[in-house]
Amino acid sequence: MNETFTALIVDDEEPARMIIRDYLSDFPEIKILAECTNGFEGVRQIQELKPDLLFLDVQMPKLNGFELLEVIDENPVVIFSTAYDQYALQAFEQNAVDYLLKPYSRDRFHQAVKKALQKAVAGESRTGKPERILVTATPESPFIDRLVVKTGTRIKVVPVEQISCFEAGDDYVSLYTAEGRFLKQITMNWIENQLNPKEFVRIHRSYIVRIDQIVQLEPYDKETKVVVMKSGQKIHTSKTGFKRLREVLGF
Amino acid sequence: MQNPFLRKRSYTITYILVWIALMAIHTLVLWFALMIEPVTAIVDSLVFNLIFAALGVSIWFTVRFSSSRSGRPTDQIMNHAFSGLVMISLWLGLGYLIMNWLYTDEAYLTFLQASVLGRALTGVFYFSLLVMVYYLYINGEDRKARISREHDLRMKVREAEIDRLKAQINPHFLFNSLNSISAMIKHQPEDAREMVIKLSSFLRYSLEHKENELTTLQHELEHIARYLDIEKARFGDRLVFNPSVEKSCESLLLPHMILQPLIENAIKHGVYESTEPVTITLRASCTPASQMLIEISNNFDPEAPPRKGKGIGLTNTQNRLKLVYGSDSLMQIHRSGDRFEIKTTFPQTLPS
Repeated sequence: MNETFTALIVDDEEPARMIIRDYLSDFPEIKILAECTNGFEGVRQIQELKPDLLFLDVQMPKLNGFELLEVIDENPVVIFSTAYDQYALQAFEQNAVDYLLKPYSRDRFHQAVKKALQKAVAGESRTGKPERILVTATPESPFIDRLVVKTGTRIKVVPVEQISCFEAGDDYVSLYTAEGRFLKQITMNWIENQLNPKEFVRIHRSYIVRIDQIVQLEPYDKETKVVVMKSGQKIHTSKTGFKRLREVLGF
Repeated sequence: MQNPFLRKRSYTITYILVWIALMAIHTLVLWFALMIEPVTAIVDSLVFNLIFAALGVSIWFTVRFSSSRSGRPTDQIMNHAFSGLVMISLWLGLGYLIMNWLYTDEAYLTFLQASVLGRALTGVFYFSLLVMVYYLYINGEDRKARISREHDLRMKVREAEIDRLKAQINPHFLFNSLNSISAMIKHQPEDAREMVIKLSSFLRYSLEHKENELTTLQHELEHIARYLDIEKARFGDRLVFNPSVEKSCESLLLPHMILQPLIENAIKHGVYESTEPVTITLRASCTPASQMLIEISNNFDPEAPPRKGKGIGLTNTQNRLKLVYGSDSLMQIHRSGDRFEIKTTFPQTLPS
């Protein structure tokens, strides 16, 4: 088997990259294409170099490991390497081939790389993205605090607190912020579950609004209302949506 | 507390057995030493001993009552002397009444009358013995309760200690540092050794039992320097530390391990989220000397989305300051543009 493989290391700490480099020297068939020190750089290099294997840290500036996987079009075979044990489940849900807890031994690393190579040989690396949608909530908080969106070739991290409204589209959801509208491939039900019900309320099948962005309610008919947002946007509630709104606002 | 002889089966059985033994001795003494007819001796023994055994259970209340009140010892002795007098009179009165009613035999009645002093003395002896047994029991129970209370307390203290350590030594800091050491060992063995030593000193200082003790600024600064050295191995040029401390402040006092969480906070919200270098500045000034002011600031990436769990470390620090100095206005947090600053005042006189 003379096949060669390419790899990319994404980790913001030099010693962490050094040890991967060191351990990888046992595998002459693997060529390291590049090393990246943050998530944005990682995305760019992955799109450009299309490595077979990806060694990925979770905690990084700008874009964390999970958010990186979310925005790339084709996933390489991923080996996570982190000091945080609480992300293991999420990593495997993302089809990561292995999850290395820092510090790890050479044997443990070999084991992970062998698994990864098998998967790469089987050609599973280019089968596209896992179906399951990413969960960026951590055990520290049950709710997400930011969402990663792509605008053209740019990647943007949108803090949830800057989002005033979610609107359902065909197979995506629009996020409204002061900066404008962003699209993301998620479902309304998923996002509703990720948001703090004290901050957001689903006033319609197709709308979730941020409660503190509501300026006033205009009468529409007996069982529904029109919500006026700070941005001037007007959204018609559904019957159940209005009931929910009454519950959270307490009137 | 319930009477020990009623509370536990084994104690009840012991009490009964002791009385059976006493009855046997009593019978034998009357029969062989005092030449009383065996049946009469048995009845005498049964009547007097059973009455005493029954009354003996009830003196538990007087003992319990008088031991639970912390009176003077002479008061307690008086209490017992009085209850002893009452009980023994009651006992003899009842016994004589029953025996006089059961027997009309002249010889026995004469003996009964002659033996009153002997019986009274025996009664005093039994009574004292019982009171003593009760006292021993109460003492033992109190000690058991105290030991279990102390045990509970110790467990609670230990739990609090573990919580404190977890809060002080961030496990991710530890594991990432160990990973750095693991990486350095091959190509930079000397640096790796240095790092192990720094990490050890860091841990030793953190583990010292000085929760609410004060230490000098100099010690705290040395600790922070070690901490930042370790972090620098991970973050390299991304982390810059810029201290400026007035020489005269170094000997001033502040709570042990109070500064590290503030520096850690700066790293977490500054260095973790930024690709650019983050400078952590520490300024200590002490004019007037009764107040030491320490300002810790860092720049951060204002574009970076806010991190979760923000402020828990700072709240802990604020709580500790309140605990030590009795004031909750010693720490001020300013945030402007790309700068985060915490100003903390350390009074040099503790509230009495």
